[in-house]
Amino acid sequence: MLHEASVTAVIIFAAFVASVVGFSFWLGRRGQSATGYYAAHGQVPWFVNGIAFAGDYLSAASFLGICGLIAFNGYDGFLYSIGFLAGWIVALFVIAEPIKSLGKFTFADALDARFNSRGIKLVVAISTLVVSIFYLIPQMVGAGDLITPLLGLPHAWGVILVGATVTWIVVTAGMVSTTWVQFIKGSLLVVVCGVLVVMILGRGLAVNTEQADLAEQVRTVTPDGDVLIDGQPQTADHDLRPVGSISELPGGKARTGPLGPLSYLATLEDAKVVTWSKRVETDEAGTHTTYYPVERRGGDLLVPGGYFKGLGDGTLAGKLNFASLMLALFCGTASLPHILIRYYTVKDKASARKSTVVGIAAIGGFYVLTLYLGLSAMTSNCLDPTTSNMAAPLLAKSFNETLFAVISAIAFTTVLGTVSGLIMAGSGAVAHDLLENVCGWELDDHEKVRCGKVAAVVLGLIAMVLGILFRNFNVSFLVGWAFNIAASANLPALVMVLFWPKTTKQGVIAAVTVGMVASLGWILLSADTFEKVYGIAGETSLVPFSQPGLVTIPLGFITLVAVSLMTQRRAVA
Amino acid sequence: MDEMPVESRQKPPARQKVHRLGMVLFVAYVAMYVGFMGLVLAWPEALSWRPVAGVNLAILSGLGLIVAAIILAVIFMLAGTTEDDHAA
Repeated sequence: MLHEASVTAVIIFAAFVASVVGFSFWLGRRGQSATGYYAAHGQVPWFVNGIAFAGDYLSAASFLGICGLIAFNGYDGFLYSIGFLAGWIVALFVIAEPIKSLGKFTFADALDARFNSRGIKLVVAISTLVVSIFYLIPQMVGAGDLITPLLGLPHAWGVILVGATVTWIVVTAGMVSTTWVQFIKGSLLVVVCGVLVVMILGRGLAVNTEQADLAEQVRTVTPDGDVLIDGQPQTADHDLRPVGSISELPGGKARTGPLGPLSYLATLEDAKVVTWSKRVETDEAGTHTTYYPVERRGGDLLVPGGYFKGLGDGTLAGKLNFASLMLALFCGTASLPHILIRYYTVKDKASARKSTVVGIAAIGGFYVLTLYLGLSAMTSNCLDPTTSNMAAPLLAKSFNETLFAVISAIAFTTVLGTVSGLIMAGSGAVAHDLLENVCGWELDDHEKVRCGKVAAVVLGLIAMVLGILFRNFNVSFLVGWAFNIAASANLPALVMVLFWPKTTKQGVIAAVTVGMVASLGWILLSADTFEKVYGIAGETSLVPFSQPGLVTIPLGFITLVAVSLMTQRRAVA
Repeated sequence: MDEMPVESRQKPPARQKVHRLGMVLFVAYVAMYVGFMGLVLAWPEALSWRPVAGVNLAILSGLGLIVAAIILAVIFMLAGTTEDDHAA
């Protein structure tokens, strides 16, 4: 769909982003030593750090991706919410305190605390970089999707705008500012989405009576790159219609009026909902994507199986794919470098634990809100059929332009915050782990910060390029990959170093390497990548299901145990 | 091999108690999570059952897992803080 920029929306958006960034700079103006740059002097108050956890974690995937998945596929988007939150239980009960005791700046410090091995530092720094980059891709894709309807700019401009702003934030300010950006963004996200859910419940559900809205729509991209809608050139007046509506409410009502949180769900379950599917055909006139309506019972949309097809048709590969993703989400959170470094920004273990609890409460509360946002977007006749990532902002637009601007601005700062955290983690891995500890460069405090900043610029550029390349993916789906790699590469080593005394440095190096290479390789050979990246039929893929975690996480543990047992004598010697 | 203390060893009794509490809560949550996944994978028809206020089991169990995570986290925070925790 074409989106025209609204002046009000642009002004609100610009003012909002400028004030968040300005405020965080002001708060973070004293962070220029290495401890200040990378770990915010270890003096961030626990409540602020807890909300900043939520800010780091509630990325474009949680806000834009999950809303979109629920809006287009129903319940299955909510499965991501459940898995994303469950991962925090591992972080709180298993990882939080030991990692606070062991580390200083980065995740590699913690893994390497027992061994002082350059090999460990090298593989962990590489895995940190790989995970950070995979996590950066969906954030940038989300940013590009967001900018299009708000400012009327192409996707690539959104990616470049976020990339440049974030790199600038990280380069000039470091972890103190990053923490404050996350705190402000995390608070606003929860509060504003709470307000939006109150408005959703107040509006209730209504039947869309416009029969014309249910006609098929065809979008054609000609060989010259022109876009046609139903055979005519696409213009602001002749464009795809917004989709997603209710065709029948229980009791034959036209609208329900205000509903409570439970009665909203119960009413939707008894309603009939029109969702939209698509089929793609190519001929000499171009590529034709036909969007067509499908009327379904609300109850069918509120159970698993809409997105994870294997759950619906009961194939073993489908079920394994689902189980694999849920395992990766459960294990992945506690292995994400940008989450782990946040344990070094508080002063002691009690603060680490308290901030995790605050984070869990804020994130859990937000995921409950997301369910309502997604379901409301599904039924408010506001979705852009070409992208699932815009569901939440377009839902806000169905209320009014101001709310749309505010939600878009928050989503944009969401991306800013998460990307800055990721770039911080990546630049720490390069400067502290790779250059200083692996290559043996003797960096003074000032040089260490400068190397980190150069690394931040390079990472920012990589993220921008990948964000443009992967624009057609749902952002939650992409984040699933990052979780798989993080869980496979990092979790086995982290857990065993903390809890198994026989772990050796060779075991850690082997586990991180095998976990990372195996999960990355599996993803590159999977049906999803074949279809969406290479454009090859998914059936020809070389692995039985797309999500690697179910195989590669245990593989990491087995590798560590086997190699550690084989290298016991050498370790003693 | 290097004999630096592993997290589970050489802790004062209060810390061991906290560690045990953390593990008990962790196992409790894992049991709930695995139970939910088992239901989705093995008995999906059960998720359409609507036991409370017309809301189905799929939604209720999903919301239940989120609320359980928050409750267990708060229990851990309230019951598990020791003097030692305030050392950096």
